[in-house]
Amino acid sequence: MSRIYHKGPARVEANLTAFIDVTFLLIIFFILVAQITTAENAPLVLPAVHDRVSTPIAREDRVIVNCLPTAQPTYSVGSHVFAGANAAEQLGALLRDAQHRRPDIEVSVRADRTAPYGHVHPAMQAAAMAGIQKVQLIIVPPEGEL
Amino acid sequence: MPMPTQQPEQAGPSAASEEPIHHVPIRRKRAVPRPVTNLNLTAMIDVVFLLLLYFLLVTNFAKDEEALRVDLPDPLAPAAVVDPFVIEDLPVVVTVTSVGNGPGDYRIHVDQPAVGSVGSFADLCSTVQAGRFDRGGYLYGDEQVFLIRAASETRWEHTIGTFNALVRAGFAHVHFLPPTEADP
Repeated sequence: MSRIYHKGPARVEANLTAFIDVTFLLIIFFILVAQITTAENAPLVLPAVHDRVSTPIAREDRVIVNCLPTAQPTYSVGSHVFAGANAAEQLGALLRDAQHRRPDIEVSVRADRTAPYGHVHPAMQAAAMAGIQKVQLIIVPPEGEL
Repeated sequence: MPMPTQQPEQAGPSAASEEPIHHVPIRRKRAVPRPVTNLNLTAMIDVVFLLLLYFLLVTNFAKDEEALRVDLPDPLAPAAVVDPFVIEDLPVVVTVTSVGNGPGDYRIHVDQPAVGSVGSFADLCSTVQAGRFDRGGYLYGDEQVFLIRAASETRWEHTIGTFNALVRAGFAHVHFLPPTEADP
């Protein structure tokens, strides 16, 4: 019984407004980030390189080309997937279009560590033929090495 | 405890024409319970937390990824003027071959008798680095061009490991040759 107001037991209520605000912001953040990640980065096991001379990934104005470890050459760029014998030509057409729209664009080649070189080189060649000189080869640090 | 009686407001001469102020004693005011509007947020917070947990678990951050930079040649650029009195260094071809499915199952061969086969990426790096003029070697200058040759079936992790070793040795002109059909 509240001794001050004599109106019954004092009610303790937490003000959850700010808490809910922050939680919603977190949810919106994760929704956006999850969509971007799944759309651009295919689930690949990237090559782990020891004693690497790598640089942080430049994230502005780049096209991510995923080279999938399949029997036939398969490349994915965002929601576009090119597979088969003409995959490199189709990829080249897309990269040419991207280079026309943004001349200083870069290409990030994400290739699975088990992908054959015969599938990865055409992706780099397609970038060169599209007039894109700056290419990033994406790797990861080995386990326990940062 | 006696409650102080509310004093009537001091009304000016201009307020005489307005509506009269009804005096309501405080005891009577407190007696009337004020309606309280509470929104029950429990279910919403439950759902919000479930969503938050879902996205925390599902989101895959690519934060560990790094890049090895390659400057590709411009196929449309005009051919450079060659000075006939300059003896250019021949490019050095480094052949990498996959001999298994493991990260260490590879062979590297440098097409120079002074170097030949090397056992690992680290050996390749240290060997070509020791051949640099500025390191007391007699094989390579700063502008030495290295060409990486690999078969179509060579694993990408072996090819990019070779590239990293040559760049780590301090050479800026490292290029990839088109894949060969069979293991070279």
